[in-house]
Amino acid sequence: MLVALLSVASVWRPWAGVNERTRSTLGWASEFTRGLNFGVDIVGGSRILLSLQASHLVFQFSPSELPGAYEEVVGILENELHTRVLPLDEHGEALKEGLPYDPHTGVARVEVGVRATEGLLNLVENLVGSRARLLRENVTNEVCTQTRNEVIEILKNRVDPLGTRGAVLKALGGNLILYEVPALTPQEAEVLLGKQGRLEIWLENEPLLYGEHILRVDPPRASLQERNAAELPFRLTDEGAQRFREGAAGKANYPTVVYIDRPTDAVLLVQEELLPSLRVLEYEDYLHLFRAKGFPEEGGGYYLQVPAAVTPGDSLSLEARSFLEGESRTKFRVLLVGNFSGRVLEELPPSYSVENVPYPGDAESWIREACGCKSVIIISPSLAQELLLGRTVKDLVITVSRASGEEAMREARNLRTILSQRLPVGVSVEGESMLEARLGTTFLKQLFWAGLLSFLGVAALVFFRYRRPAITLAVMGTMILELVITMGVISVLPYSLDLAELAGVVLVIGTGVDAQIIITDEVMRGGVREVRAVGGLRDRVRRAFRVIWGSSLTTLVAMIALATLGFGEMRGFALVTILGILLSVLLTRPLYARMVNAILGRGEVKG
Amino acid sequence: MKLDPAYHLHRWSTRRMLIPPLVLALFFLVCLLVRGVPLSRDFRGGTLIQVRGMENYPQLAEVEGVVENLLGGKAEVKLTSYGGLHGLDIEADNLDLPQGVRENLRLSLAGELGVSENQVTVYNMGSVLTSLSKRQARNALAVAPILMALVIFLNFRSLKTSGSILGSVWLNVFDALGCMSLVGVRLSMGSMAGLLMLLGYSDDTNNLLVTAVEKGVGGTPRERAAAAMVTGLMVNGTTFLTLLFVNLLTTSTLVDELTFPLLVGMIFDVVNTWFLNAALVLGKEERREIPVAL
Repeated sequence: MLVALLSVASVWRPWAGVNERTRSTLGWASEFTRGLNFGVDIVGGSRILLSLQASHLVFQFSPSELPGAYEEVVGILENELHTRVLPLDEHGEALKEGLPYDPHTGVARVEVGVRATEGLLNLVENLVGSRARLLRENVTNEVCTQTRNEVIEILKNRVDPLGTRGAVLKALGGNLILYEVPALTPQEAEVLLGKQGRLEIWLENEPLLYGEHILRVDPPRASLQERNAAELPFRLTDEGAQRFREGAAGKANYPTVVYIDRPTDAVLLVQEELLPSLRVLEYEDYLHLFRAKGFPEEGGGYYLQVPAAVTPGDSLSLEARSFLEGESRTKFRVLLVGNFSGRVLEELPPSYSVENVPYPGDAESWIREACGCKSVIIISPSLAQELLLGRTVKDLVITVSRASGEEAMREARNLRTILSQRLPVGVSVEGESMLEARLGTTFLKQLFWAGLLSFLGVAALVFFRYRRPAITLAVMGTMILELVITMGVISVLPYSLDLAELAGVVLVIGTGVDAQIIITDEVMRGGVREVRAVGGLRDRVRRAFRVIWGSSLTTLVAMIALATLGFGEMRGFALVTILGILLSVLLTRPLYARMVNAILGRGEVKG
Repeated sequence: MKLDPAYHLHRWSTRRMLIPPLVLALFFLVCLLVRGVPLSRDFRGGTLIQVRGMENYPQLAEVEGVVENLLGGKAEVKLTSYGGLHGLDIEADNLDLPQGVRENLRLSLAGELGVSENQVTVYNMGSVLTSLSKRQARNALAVAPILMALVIFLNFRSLKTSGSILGSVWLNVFDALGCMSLVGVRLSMGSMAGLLMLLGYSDDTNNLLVTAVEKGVGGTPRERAAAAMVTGLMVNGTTFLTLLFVNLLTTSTLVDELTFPLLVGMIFDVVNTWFLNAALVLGKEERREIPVAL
């Protein structure tokens, strides 16, 4: 009974607020179900269209220069484009076996994790030089099935790792993925879905470590050294630790700059009026880079590795325009840091696409955010000394500072998700929309009536069978207890209750009485003489439990299979059913057995 | 004359009891061979039509009707909104529409909804299963029957008994699939869940039967089987009633797909458990001819 009361409290949660979206969809029912999270079909959610940034390039090699030329080209593309290069077969799918090129014709197909634009193709041709000829007419903006499936699985793990949130991902034609999830705001979606998670750690203005050098990222914690900051510990691989030791040994106080998704294909356009407010950063106009003031050995003196142009907010300076035109062969995006007039945007070279960088609170953070600079780790003197002495250090910490400690923790958690689930290609959010509740209160009302009629029907059946009000009350009471406790447990777990889960809860009304019926029939079968002869009520109840355990285990196995292969709602439905079975076998069946012993045992003794 | 649901258990030979379930199985085998089991959008994929930038929502039923008339397959409409404007996401069963059909669809829908063609986009939509998840699904479906068989064997410690229970249970699933094929209910994540649930529900009644006949006390095996059948019908009855109300009173396709195989499966379970499995179990007991002490 205590568990039931706690369950009611957990579902109701009168002390908690009501989600506005839920209130607007469900009305008064939302006041009594504050502990429950409802799914897309009940309260709506988000639908996001993602575009995978990848393309298929086709090269023509001279057969006599293979395989050396091929390997060189792949190495150049990986290093210069900062992307995975995946060899393809002649059908445009990931190569499973055989040579990655045709030894007779010298043709090779690869997938790169960047979108093919005119600028990119020019860059590739420059990089590759005479080693191969890029067959432009065969270049396509598409992903192979393997990459698309990888991205879908990784994104699922980012947002819905347990599969209980009701997230659904479907591939659309071309490079598009449709993503549907309850209660994910477009901002959360942008963070969790739109970031590739490409990590770089730079030291002395050279890249030192990359994402593949990270073994794992641990849960974040609040920083004890800094206010409004969170620490994200991570562990390096052996190779990463080796590289770190070689690079950082003896470099006491040197800064290592941590980038995530540094925009390698973009130029910053920074509003000139922001420069006086910068404390640490200063703009070096002859290099077109922002630099942290100071000297490396004093913890300063590093460059932010994204080229930048500075211009007044109301007009594009000649110098900025000239710089942008010069960079247009290798850069394809302009990231706006500041408030610019329409005139500035009109004067930008047309080859660029323009993006606004959200304002995080101050100008310095704005510039860092635009560069993908997440943190600066200063190498402590003791660490530098240890590395000099040959010791390998594998555990490092990224510190994330924000306006508040809560915001810093949230950012750190998102970072952990993104770094732990790195995407092989870039992803951009092409479109987003809020999904209206398709059924909402209509379905809940229908389910209520189905539940009520089921309850009455089952109660009538049970009474008709046993003709004893005490038994009927005991059977239905136990079923109600099971229902309430199941809802209570659901309310503390990260479930989104959608159509299938709610239907599963109502089905408990029908299935929740089965074991009680089996127990009751087994106990009522046979007379007093037989009961005494074979050990009494207890033995009969034990026999009934054997049947119940056996079939419960079978259903458990079936539901575990469904939970494994199911998605979204079906996984949630399976988990609701598993929960119901475990609760019934461990809690409510033994309770009912005691009740029926009391009711029928008294009757047997009197008889 | 009082109706006795266990009449056949008292009067029929075990051989005769095998006839109805086998006839049923044969019938559904023919259905499956002739019609197969249609796959839903969950597994096949389909077509997604997005309409954006509408001032107001149209009548959903009308939109579904228009799309179904144009494409000849089922369609489902979801409402979207962004930035104060409304939109529709229409999911249709048709796969790989030719370019000409897509263009025609765009033009027709734009005309029907009073929007420009640019506001309508047609995509090919993949299934919810990626190659990784298909592998996971195959593994789960391969492992589940083995684990089930193990659970049943550990419960009864007899290969014959386990075999008869598993046979009855899987025949329920087979018959339910056959019925889906006959009626045209598609195999989706919902109906797959229903079929897996059916495995558990079917095992309830088979366990009852076998435990009563082999481990029960008092009466002959047939009398014990008849008594267990009354319990089994009661157990099936309560579940069936709830499923029926949920199926009839809710208007969700997913819930319909979930409950249909369960509903028909409960009916077939009566035949497969209390005729087929009863015949096998009673046959085994009667061959042993062990007198039961009163």
